[in-house]
Amino acid sequence: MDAKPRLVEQSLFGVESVIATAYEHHVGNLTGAIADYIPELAAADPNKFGIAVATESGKLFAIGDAEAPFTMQSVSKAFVYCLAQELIGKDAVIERVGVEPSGDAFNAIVFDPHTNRPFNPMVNAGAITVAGIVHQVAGSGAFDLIVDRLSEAAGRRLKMDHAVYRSEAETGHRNRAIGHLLRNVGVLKGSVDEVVDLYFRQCSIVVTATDLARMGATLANLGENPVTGRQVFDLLAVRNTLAVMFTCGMYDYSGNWAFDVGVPAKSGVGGGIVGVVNRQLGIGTFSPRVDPKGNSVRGVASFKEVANELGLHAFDSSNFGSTFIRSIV
Amino acid sequence: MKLVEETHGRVILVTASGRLDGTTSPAFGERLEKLAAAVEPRLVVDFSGIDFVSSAGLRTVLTVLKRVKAANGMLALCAVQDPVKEVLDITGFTGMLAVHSGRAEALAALA
Repeated sequence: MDAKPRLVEQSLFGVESVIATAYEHHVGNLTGAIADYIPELAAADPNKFGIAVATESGKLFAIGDAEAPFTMQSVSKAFVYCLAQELIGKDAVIERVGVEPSGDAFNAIVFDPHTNRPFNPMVNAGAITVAGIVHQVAGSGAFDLIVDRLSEAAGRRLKMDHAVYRSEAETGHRNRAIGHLLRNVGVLKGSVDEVVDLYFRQCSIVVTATDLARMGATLANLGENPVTGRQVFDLLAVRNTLAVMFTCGMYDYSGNWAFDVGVPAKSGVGGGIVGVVNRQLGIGTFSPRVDPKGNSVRGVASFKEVANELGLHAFDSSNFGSTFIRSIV
Repeated sequence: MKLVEETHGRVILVTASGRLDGTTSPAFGERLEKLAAAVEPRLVVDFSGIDFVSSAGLRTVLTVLKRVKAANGMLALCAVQDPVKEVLDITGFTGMLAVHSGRAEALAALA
């Protein structure tokens, strides 16, 4: 087990104590297993656990292994979706990938029977479609574009883990099959191999829980990084992305998540979860032991507790629906 | 969380101390809801010893308030510490709850 956790920048009535308490409550939970269907992921330290919260004003609270690196995996899908809308417009993106929860596993090879399109951008089929959009616009510069943008969201230069990328590329046959099916129905243009390779690369970008909190805070702060002041994502694309994260972000646990936690979030089998409280917070957790649905066990438990204590649920009794309404009624 | 009850005429005064959060609020809620089960309950909760209330704690207070109102009763808080008062103000709870500065004022209001 790690040494005594540290807290960074204590301020704000109660937030740091809630995070610390959640950490203490769940650090001893060793249920779940490391995802090893990507062989290189099996090398992760199963005991790592960190929580970070970043505010729209630039403050940061972090505890435990919040600086431990891991690969984004599916967490990247949310941010690349945000980018894709900016590149070709929301309507053009929706023509290729829907926004409906599928209820199926993340790697399901099934399209929406009504549209013959991937259900949403948070399942692999949808995410590969979105990667295809970035590839169609940026060509060989697509991965640099993605890394640049995600780095701006995090406020520091992010890099790819080459070992994990190679492991994904060598074993990603199902994703290649999905890519070919997408090409067949016309939502993926260009080279299937190049698009799927781009998808493997984005999944292999290395972050920490602190990075995810900062990236979440960028989304929370209307697309502007609260620390650097740079406008990273388009304002309307952010809203659309948060909506899809809210309904589809936690694999086939998304309904339960919306019910219990009630914040837009995206998980990854690498053990990360990013959550966003609109106009207020980004939250990042890291714990590599995941449940059968692919969500981090300690991450989900921590989010539930923190959301409960801090009233983060969209429909919590302490939250008003529209501050605009408050101002005029 | 520590809860101490006193009776002042028709009013039951509960003095609470500690944190009111997800861990402690179930016991707090259970105790107050038992008191709210009386006919036309009149409850004052002295918050002078509460130094932290989380959103989970607020929900429990709201649940007790609903229960008291359903029984044609009255619920008031008193002696709320400034940081907790700020939370009540910003979350709009002071619009729903009677909050008095001290015990005497609260007891007089519910007598």
